[in-house]
Amino acid sequence: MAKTVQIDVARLNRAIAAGLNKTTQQLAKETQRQIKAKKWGWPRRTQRANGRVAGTTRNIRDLDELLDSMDVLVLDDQGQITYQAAHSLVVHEGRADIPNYPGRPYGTAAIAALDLPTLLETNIRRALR
Amino acid sequence: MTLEDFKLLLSAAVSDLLGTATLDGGAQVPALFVRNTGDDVNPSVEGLELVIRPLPVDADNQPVYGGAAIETTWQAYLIQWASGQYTITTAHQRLLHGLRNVQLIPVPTPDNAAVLEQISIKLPDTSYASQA
Repeated sequence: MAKTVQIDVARLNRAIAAGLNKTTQQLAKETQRQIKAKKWGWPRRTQRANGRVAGTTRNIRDLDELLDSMDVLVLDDQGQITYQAAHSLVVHEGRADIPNYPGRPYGTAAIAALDLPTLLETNIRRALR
Repeated sequence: MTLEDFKLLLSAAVSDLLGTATLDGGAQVPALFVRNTGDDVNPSVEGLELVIRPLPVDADNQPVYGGAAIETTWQAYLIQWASGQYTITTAHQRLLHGLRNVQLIPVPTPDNAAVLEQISIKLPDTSYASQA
């Protein structure tokens, strides 16, 4: 005898959307945490615009222009985290036209810090409960 | 992948597009340098310069000297100096189509008028740790 399995596609899609939204928010939080972390190597001490002196391991804060420029967008099939500040790319990648400007890849570090596939799966399962 | 492998991959794609640098003794050489953050920049470069970082890095941009079983990324930069021939667009196209998984990210440096464009090149390498 044939067995019928009913799948509630609408509920499944809602759970996927909720899971993707939650995972994107978690990645955004982790990226901000990376910017705040006093972990990034820099070859010398610097007087910052905020008046403090930053050492050879530092965060990427100063006046928080980068931190405050984050936009989070969740679409049907992807989450986007964008930093709108003009210096967001040069901070992430570093530069080679001057001697001392190492990259501080806060985005790559955030992705590496989280197990995103497992996190997404967990978030979708929770949304289905 | 070793530094030599990475250098060969990049130079095979763009060597004919590189500009020139003048060394201290007056000799002119292709503008391809392996240099670390902190090393002096050669001020005589005209045209396109390829700068290769000597060690791959981990996700926190820390140099990886080998041994640890983690994914590493090789780094290089293309710098289009304002003087000399403009070839960075062709170089960008060749790397984009020639290197699998390569990341090419523009790095705006509006505070340096001598530089027209700069591109960060990143190539993930899972084989580095096991070869070291």
